[in-house]
Amino acid sequence: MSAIGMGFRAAAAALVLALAACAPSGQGGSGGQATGGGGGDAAAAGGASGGVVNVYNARHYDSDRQVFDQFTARTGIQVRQIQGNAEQLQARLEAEGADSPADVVITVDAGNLWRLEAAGLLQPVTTPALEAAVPATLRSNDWFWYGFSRRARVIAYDRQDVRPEQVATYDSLASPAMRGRVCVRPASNVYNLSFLAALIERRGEDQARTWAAGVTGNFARRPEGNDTDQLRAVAAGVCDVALVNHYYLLRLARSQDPADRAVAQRVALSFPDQNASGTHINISGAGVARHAPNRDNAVRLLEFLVSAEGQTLLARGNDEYPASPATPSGNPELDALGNFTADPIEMSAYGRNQATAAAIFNEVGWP
Amino acid sequence: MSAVPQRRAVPSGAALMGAMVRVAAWGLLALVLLPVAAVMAGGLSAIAAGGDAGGTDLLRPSMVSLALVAIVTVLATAIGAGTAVLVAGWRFPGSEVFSCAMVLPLAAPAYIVAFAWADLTAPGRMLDILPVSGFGGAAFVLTFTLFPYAYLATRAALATQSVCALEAARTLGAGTGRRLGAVVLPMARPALVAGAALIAMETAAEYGTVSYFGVRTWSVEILREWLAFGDRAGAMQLASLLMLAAFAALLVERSARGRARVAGGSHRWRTPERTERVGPWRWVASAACAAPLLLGFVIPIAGLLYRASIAGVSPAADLPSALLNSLTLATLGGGLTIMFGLALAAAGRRSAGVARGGSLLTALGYSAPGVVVALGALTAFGWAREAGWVGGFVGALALGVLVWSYATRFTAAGLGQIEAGLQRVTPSLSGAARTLGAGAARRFFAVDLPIAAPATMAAALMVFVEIVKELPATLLLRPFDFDTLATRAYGFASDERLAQAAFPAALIALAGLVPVVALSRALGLSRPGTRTGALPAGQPTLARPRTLDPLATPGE
Repeated sequence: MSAIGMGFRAAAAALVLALAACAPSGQGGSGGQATGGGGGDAAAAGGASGGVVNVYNARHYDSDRQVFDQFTARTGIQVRQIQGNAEQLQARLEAEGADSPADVVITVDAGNLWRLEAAGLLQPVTTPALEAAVPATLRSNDWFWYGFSRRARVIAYDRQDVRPEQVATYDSLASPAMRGRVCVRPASNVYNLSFLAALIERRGEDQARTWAAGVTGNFARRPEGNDTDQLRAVAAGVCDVALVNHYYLLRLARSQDPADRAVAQRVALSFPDQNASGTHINISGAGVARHAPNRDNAVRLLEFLVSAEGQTLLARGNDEYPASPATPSGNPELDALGNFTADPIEMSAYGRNQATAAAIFNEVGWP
Repeated sequence: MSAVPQRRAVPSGAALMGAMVRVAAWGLLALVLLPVAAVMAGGLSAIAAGGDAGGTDLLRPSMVSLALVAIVTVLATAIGAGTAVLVAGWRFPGSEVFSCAMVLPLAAPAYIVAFAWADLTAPGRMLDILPVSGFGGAAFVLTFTLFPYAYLATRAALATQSVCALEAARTLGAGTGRRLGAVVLPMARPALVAGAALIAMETAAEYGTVSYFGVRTWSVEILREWLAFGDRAGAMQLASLLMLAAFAALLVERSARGRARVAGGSHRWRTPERTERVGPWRWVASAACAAPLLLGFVIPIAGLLYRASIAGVSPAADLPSALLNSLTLATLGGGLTIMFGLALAAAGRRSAGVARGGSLLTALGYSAPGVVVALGALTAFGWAREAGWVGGFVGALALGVLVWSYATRFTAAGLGQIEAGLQRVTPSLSGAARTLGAGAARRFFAVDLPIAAPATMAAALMVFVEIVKELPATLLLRPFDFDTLATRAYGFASDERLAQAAFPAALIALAGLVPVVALSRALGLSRPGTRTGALPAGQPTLARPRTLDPLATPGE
C-alpha cells in the first residue's frame, strides 16, 4: 500500500467532508436580493415585518452581534453581515454597483463615512427619530450618514511622573517639556489621520504641521503597535504620555489579567482642551447603501442603533459614548471618566482633510 | 526552461495537439491572471495619465523593501535548507519528530506571530530584554515564519535524490562537507531556488507584520496610498510598479541560473543511509532544529495561549464553524490551485514558452499584497457585471471569486514546486516511455506525475496552509456571515483583543498541523526507492510496462 495512495485517499476524504460542509454556508450567502422570504421564521418578540437586512460592517466588535440580535428580537428582521475594512467594503460596494446586496454600511471614523458619501455609495435618509437622536455635527450635512457612538482621542499619562495640568492640552504633546516622553501609534492609523484633519480644519495647515513636527520631535520611541501597546508602554515607563482612544484603558481595567489591571491603575486619562475648543472625538456611524434592496429594514436598523436601547447596548459593548450627550450611557465605568466638552467640529471635515493630514505626517517624518 | 526532448520531429497530429495544449495553457494563464491584469490596467492607465501616486517617495520604501527581502530570504533559506539537510542526512535525538515538525511555523500567520512576539517582549513582559520591534522585529518574525518554504522545498528535493551520485562521491573519498557542497546542494538547487523565491515574494507582499512594526515597505506604501490618501488608482499604480519590479528580479534570476541541468545517470533508487550522529554533535543538530521551531512557532503560540489563560477569556462559540469554513476554502482553493499548477507545469513540458511565461507571470500574483489581488478580482468581477454576465456578488458567486483569487495568488507557490519536481523526470526516462509507446497523457500520468508526486504534495500542503492563513482576500470577498479562523483572529487582533485572538490563531496552526504531518509523512515515505522496492534490484521501473498503467498502484 503506497503512501501516495494514502495521501490521495486522505485528500479525497477531506474533499468530501469539505463539500458536505459547503452546503449550509452556501445557503447562508445566497439570495441577497430577497426582501421577504428569508425571515419567515422571524416571529420572536416584536415580530413585526420579518425579512432581512444586509450589513457591511467595518467594526470588528463582537458586541455588535448582540446589538443586532436585540434588533432581530424587536423587529423580527434578520441581520446578515460582512465584516471588513472600510476601504475594502467600499471597493466591494463599487464593484457590485446596482446589484449590491448591501443595505446598511457601518464604519468607524467619520472620514470613512465621508468617503462613502463622496463616492455616491449611500442614499440620504431622514426620519424624525434619526433627526432627534443625532446632533447635526455628528451626521452628514446632507443626511447620508449618522454617527451612533462617539470615542474621544485623549492623552494617557503616567500618574507617577506627570501631573494632569501638564497634559491639559493637545499642544502639550508638542511642547519642549515632553521631549523624549511621547508614545503614539503610526501615522497611517485612521484615528491619527482624523485627529490631524480636525486640527487642520480648526487652525489651518501650517499650525497643524507645526504641531505634528513638534510631537514627532518628542517621540520616546519610533511609533509602532496599536493604542493598547501605547498604554502598556506608558505603564512600563518607556514613555510618560500617549495619544489614545479612551475605551482601551477601560478595557484593560476590566481584564482578568493582573498585568492589564496594573496598567490601568498606573495610567490616567486627560480629556484635553477643555478650556479651548474641546476634546477631539470621532464616531462610529452608519448609512443606507445607495442600492439597498431592503431599504425600509435598513432605516429601521439605523433608528434602532440611535434608540435609547441601542445606545445603551453600544455604550456597554465597547465603552463608547452615546451619540448625544443627553442620552444616558448605562455604563458606570464610562460615566466614571467624567463629563467632558467635545470639540463641536463638523465631522465631514475629517474626510475632506485626511489626504492633507497624511501628506503632513509624511513631511514631518512621523512614520 | 525544462528539458523538452519530445518537441523534435513530432508527427503532424502531435503538432496539432501541441498547439492546442499551448492555446489552452495560455488561456488558463490568462484566467488565473485576470485579477493581476485588472490591477495593472488600473495602475498603468494612472501612470499614463501622469499620476504621481500622491507624490509618494519611491526610493525609501524601495530600499526598505529590498533590504528586508534580502535579509529574510538569505536567513530563512539558510535555516530552511540547513535543517532539511540535517534531518535528511543524519539521525540525532528528535530527528524523526523534527522531520515533520520543521514545517509548523508555516501554519502560524506571520502577523499573529508578530503580535505575540511584540507582546512577549513588550516593556514589563516576560522576555523584555530584547524587544522584537521595528525593522529588526519584522525581519526576525518573517525569517522564522517563512523558513519552512526552503525547508519543504529542500526536503522534497532530497527525498527524491539519487543515492548513486552520493555514493560515488563517497567512494571518491569526498567528506561530508564536500559531498554536501558538490553533490547534494547542486542537485537540490532548483528546489532551493524555488523555495528562496517563495520566501522573497512572501516578504515583498507581506503587509500585516511590517505595518504593525511601523516598517514602511512597498506594500505598506501601497495600502497607505489607498487607505490614507483614499487614492485607489495611486495604490494600483504602486502595486503595478511592485509587480513589475518582482517580474524583473525573476527575469534576472532566470537568466543567471543558466542552463545547468542535472540528469541522474542511473535509475537505481535506494534510500540513502542516514548517518547516526554521536557525541556532542547530535545535540548540536537537535538544537539547530529546535531553535527555529521554538522561535517561529512554539514560543509565540504558547505565549498567546498563556495570555488567553491569564486573561480568563474563553473561545468564541463560532470557532467550529469558522474552522469548517477555513478547511472548506483551503480544500477548494488548494485543489483548484494545484490543478492549475499541474496543468501549467504539464503544458510547460511541451512548450518552453508556456513554461517560462507560466512561472514568470504567476509570480506577479504572488508578489503583490493579497489585498491588491483581491481588489483586482473585484475589479474583474465588476467588468463581468457591467457586461451583464453575472449578477450580485453573493453566495456561491462570492465564494467562487474568492477561490479564484486564491488561485491567482498562490498558483506560483504551487507551480514552482511542481516544476522543480518535474525536473527530476530525466530526458532518458521520457524517452524510454516513448519507446514503449506511451502517449503524452499516459507519460504524464504514469511517469511524470508519480515522480513529481512528493513535490506536488509539498505544494498542495503549502497552498492549503497558505489559504487557511490567508486574510485580505478572504476578508474582502467572502459571502455574508462567513467567518474563517483568519478573519476571526484578525477581527480580535485589530480590536486589540490579543487574548481572544489566541484561540483562532492556535486553531489555524492546528488546522495546518494535520495536513502538515500527514503530508510530511507521505513525503518521507515516497522516495522512489521505497516505492519500487518490491521490484527486483537493478530493474529500472520503466522496464515493466505494467507500471505505465495509470490506474495500477505503484509498488504493489
